[in-house]
Amino acid sequence: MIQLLVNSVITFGLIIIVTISFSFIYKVTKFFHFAHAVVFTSGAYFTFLFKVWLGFPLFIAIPLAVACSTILGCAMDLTVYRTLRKRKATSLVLLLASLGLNVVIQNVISMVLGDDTKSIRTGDVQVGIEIFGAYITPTQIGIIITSIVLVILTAIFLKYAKFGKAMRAVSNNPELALISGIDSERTILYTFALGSALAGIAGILVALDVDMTPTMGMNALMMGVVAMIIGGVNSITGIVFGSLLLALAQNFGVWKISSQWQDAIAFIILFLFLLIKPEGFLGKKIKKVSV
Amino acid sequence: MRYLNYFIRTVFVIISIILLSCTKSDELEKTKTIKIGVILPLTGDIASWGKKGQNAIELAIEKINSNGGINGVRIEALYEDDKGSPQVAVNAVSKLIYTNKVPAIVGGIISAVTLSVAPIAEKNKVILIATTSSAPAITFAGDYIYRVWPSDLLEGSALGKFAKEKGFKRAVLLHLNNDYGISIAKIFKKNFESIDSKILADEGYQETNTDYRSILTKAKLLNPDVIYTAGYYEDCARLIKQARELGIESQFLGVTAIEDDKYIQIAGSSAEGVIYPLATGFDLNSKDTIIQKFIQNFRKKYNYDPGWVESHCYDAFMLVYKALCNSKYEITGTKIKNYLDNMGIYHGVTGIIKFDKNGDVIKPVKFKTIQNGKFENLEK
Repeated sequence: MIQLLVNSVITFGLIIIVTISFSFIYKVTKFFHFAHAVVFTSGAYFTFLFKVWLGFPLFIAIPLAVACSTILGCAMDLTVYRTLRKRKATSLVLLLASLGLNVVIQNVISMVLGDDTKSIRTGDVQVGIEIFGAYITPTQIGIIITSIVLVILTAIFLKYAKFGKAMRAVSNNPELALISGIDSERTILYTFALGSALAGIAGILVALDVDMTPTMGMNALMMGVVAMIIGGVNSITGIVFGSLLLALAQNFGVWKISSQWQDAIAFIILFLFLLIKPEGFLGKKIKKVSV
Repeated sequence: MRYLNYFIRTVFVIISIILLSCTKSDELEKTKTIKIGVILPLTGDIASWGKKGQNAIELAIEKINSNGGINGVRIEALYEDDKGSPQVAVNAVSKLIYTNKVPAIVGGIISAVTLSVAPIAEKNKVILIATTSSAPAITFAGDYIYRVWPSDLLEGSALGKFAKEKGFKRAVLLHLNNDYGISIAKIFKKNFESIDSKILADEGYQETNTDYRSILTKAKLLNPDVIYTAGYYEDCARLIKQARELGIESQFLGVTAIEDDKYIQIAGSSAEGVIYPLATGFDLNSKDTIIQKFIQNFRKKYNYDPGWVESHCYDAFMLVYKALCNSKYEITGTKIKNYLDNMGIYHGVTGIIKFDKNGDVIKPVKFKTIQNGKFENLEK
């Protein structure tokens, strides 16, 4: 029982960062940036490159890798999305473009580094530490702490920093933000930077726990999208609740239902929320006011 | 603007002519070699096996062509990547059959692929020799469908009986949710269950899953003394690694598929002590001269020792060659079938091969384990 709770917290830690970073890219740019999945994957693979191919120690490889993921995310915005936005592309077009980016870059990773599982774990398999009858490895504890710290930092940043407020302004009403003197293109670029950095970190955290494959991003992102929708896009607290609910449901659900349904549970919850409370857990219904 | 249009159209026409003339010369090329189709997972989760198979087949081709090929004509393999996916395999095989018109296809490595492409081969009277597919359903897949690897009925039942005889009483089965995993788990169950030995749970997991904590927690709470992982090397390796991290101490039983370096690489020290069956005549320590010669040639060319993937792919390809040698210039699936059905015993690098009326083979089963990071025979 306790083990299931611990497992849920670990799952939560693994998906929360991806979810939050995806959600504010979505809020500010109003489209599903699917290529976020491959930015997530790239964090892990860049670390692999730096650690295994170039021989850097982990504590140098990781920051370098996060920087590279950030550059990748920004490059996507600068080259593809910005051009499309200039041509007044709809969010559907941007979504398709992001899917395309995802497929291409994921396959580049497969081509260059191979499809098999790669590892950046140091040391050997560790038997977990026993706490109240549940087992958790030191790596997993590290992952949870990192995730929680990052969530709190992000929340503070969004609320109080100047850039955080700029992001909220652009997401709320781009034209008004522009008039107030906020450069919305620059804001979007910085949003991508922050989001991609977080995604890169998330990818590294997952790889430290279960190793990496080129397709790991899509899986993680799917869970993130579900968590975001059921938590309500608009508040970080909502997303935290959504991710927690999803993690709990998946881990406890497997207890009673056969484990083949693990992924299906996530999507069934999504269906239910979309049918009953589409604005999410803590979301509020937005009423459109026309002038 | 008009001129631009004309220009583009002319360029288009020129390019089409060039492309058409390319295919024309391909037709001429065709008569110079005999092409055999090969489907392997060259990329994807089990790419390690695809590469091994390709190495073995390349060695076979080298040997065949240096001996004069088939009645003086060189043999060539047309490789298609099935990515370990049945859907991709169907496309690959369709191309080999309809576009390249091969008489035989060597592959697939995994049962899901073999089962998905068997109907196409059967319908078009193209021979399919599966190299390492073990699902029992393949026995009934068709008259043109053969395999050099025994059915899971052999591997699964041998292991189930072994576990029962060793005194294990409480087993949990974790199987990959596909044709192979589901059926081999069922066979193990049938052979393990008795008055004393019970199956506590039989849980399936998806191929895309990498986090098995929930399924393992469930297993742990049932307190089994033995856990059987029925999947491929990556997922089985993750299962045993995460199980040890969760403090599960049960004995782990694996499938033949775990005999791969990647398994030890991913699982690390958690792989120690896992026991698995090997249902093949191929053995690095065999005193058989044919097997030893193959091992030496392989080592010389590739600088590493061949394993069960390489040896079976080699035999499968050699069988096609042998059949075509005896078919008097008629390069068709039906001719190959006639040979395979009536060939009696073939002494291959995986031991004695004799196809039964369903195109299946019988092989001896032995048990192995992992000790000090190496695959070793299990001492009784």
